[in-house]
Amino acid sequence: MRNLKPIALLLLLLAYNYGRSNSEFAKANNLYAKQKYSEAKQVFKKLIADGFTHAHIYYNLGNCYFKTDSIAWAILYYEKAKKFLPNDAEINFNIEVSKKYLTDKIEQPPKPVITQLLNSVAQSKSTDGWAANCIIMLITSFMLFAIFLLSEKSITKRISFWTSAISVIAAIVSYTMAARNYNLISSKNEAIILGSSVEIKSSPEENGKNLFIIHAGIKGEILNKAGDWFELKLSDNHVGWVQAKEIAEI
Amino acid sequence: MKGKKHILLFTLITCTFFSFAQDGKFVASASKTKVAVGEQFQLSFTASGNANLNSYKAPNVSGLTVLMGPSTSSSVQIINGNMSQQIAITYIVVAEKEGVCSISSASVIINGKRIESNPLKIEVTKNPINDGKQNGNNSQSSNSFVSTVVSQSKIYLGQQFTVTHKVYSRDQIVGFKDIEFPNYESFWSQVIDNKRQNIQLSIEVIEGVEYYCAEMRQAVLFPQKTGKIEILPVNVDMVVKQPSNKKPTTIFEQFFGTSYKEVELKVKGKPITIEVVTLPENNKPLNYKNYIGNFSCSTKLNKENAKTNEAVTLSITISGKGNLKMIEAPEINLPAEVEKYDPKVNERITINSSGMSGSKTFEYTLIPRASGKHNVKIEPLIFYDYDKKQYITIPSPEYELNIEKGANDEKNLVLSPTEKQDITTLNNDIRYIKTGHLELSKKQDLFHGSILFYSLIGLIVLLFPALIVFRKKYNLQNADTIGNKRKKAAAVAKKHLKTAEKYLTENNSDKFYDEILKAMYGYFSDTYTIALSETNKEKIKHILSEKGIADELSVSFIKLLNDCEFARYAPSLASPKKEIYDSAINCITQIEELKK
Repeated sequence: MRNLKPIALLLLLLAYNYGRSNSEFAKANNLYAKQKYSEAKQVFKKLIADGFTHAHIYYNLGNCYFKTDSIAWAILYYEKAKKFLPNDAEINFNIEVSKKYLTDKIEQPPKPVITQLLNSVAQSKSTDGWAANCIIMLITSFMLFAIFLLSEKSITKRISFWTSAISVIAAIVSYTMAARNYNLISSKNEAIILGSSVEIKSSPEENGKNLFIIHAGIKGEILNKAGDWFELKLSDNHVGWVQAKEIAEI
Repeated sequence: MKGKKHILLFTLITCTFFSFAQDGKFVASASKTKVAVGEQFQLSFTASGNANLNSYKAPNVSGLTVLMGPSTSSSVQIINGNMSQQIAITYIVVAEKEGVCSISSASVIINGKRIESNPLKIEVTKNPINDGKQNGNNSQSSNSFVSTVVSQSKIYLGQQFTVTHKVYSRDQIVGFKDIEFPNYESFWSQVIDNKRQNIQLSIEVIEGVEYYCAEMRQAVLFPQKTGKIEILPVNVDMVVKQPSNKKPTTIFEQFFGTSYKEVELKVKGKPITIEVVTLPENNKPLNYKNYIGNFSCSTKLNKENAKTNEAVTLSITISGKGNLKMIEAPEINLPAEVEKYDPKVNERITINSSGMSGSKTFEYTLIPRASGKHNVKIEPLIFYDYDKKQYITIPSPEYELNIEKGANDEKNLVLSPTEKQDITTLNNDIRYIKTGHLELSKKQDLFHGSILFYSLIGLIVLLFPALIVFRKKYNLQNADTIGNKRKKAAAVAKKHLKTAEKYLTENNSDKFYDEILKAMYGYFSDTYTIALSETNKEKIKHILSEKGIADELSVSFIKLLNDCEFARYAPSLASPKKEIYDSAINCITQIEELKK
């Protein structure tokens, strides 16, 4: 019994933390409903600072920014939410609405069909969903292999061998999907311009030549980093260097 | 200057004063308050009202010598049926000695009351005063000036007040050549109409001195911005009549006394400053529209029951005092089924010296297009009452229109039921936040990539070869049991034979043959690893010949089996035989030997 005490305490603490964060989330939502957007924003930000990552927190925080007229920040958090729920209708709708308020108009070219398909498959489950799937498939495969080895009848042997092989393939696919999903969520290879009017330079230095000027809210792909400078590629294939303080990684 | 066109020309009748007030008044005035010794001047006592001249009590004019008078003149005015009467008693006096000469009150009975006039003080100097008659233009400021009078000098933004421009002159004003009115910057102005055309002339007494006064203009102003704002005065170019110093040259002049000349004067005034402040912020209603004054609001719906497509009139009347002209049509809130036309506006506004007042009526024409009950809401009227110093909201009643289907509805239907409309986007707004409980997890709690995850994968992957190894070992073990069986075949057979020997001694033939058969078949199946069920005489014969065992042994083996089986099926005929037992031992030992 003495050994169980710390475990029970830990569980209680976890339950408390879980409940608290959930009530914080509800509190922030209430503030939002009362149109106290700035206050709701603080609570959502606190949750994220506490290490809670959930598409809904990001999405709601994006809404708070939208309501307080910070469109670029709103887009940043919508994009963060989109990484978790890429096919969520509300997130995508709000991104589209927010884009209407941007100064620059940059067409978003569609990604290759294969990439799109792979991404949507990878994001149909969570990272852990895929990981669990991988383990389950491996166990299934192992059990079928055991049947194959131990059975004497040739029909049983044949069926169990092939299903075991299929399960192994399924496990490998699940693993790659888990990895892809994890990459999509955690990799920071995109950024949003936050500065209201940002000069994009030809080289990562203060006196570099100005190539073009973009305004807040534009998304770019991060190609390179050099000190305080990021090399960004916009969706219309414009490439240039921008200072780290002007952008935020998604 | 003379060529300049006379804008307005007036003539005045001297000494005919009119209408200060209807109440009894008795005013003393002097044509000059500063005189030189020996200078003539005029003293007047003006009674307005029904004065009884017999009751007149002359003032004590010590230090002055009356040259002429008292002479009386009277005037009667009837305005709108009200009669007013004025009687003036005038003296021409001359000061005798230097110093301050005071004139005590005179009194007269007016309307049955004895009323005293104000006392006057005349300053008498030794030298003749340069009162500007000789060199007019230089000192005109003392003789004539412009005044700008406002009803209030501190005022709220949008609050109305009046401004009055007056020109004063000691000399009789004959006419105006040029009047330059200010254009009231930062104000919304409204000149009071009835004073636009006629410049009213009157005589006012300021500090005991009589002035000819012309009221140039009166306007109602509404400040449009806050801060200190200057109101410019009027600049006037006027013609006055001044007595000339020349000796009368003609008999005509001599006969009529002093001669006059017309002098042109330019009068400029100083601007005055008023302070405009914003309305108090506390308790300011949300939809306040900068209406200031005191208003009332009445609404009327000409009918509450109507048929579809029949016009209904909603009239809203706002009346009171204040910036009425700025009042816009109150918004009315209607369901989409009721069509609304722009309101017809009727203004009845009067502007006078007390400001702008009147009423404004907005007439909305409503046409219900669908039957049913429709609510009509009217925006409340909100204004700031500067007398009460608070915001006042007058809510308007809510009406309910009861609309029945009209008789010829089919023909006039505007919105036919088949007509479908696209949903019109009113506003571009984002979707609402996501609510509800969350399965919140922290980033570091991810299962994927954790040690547990990889160790599970490793474990399972390692289990595959382990399973294969296990299976191989199992197979080997299985193979060993066959070897064992072979090894033990003879021993097992011997066991059976031993039991058979026991039955031989007991003379139990049934069990004896049974044991012999078991020993023989068991031995054979174990030795050649053939399932016991599959062992039969044919197979034995076949296998033995295959293994190159002598036919002799094979025959005796089969014969032994045949004998045993026969004995078993007919137990009564057989008895346990020693030869059978020996032959069995013989067969097994021979095969055993051949195996080696």
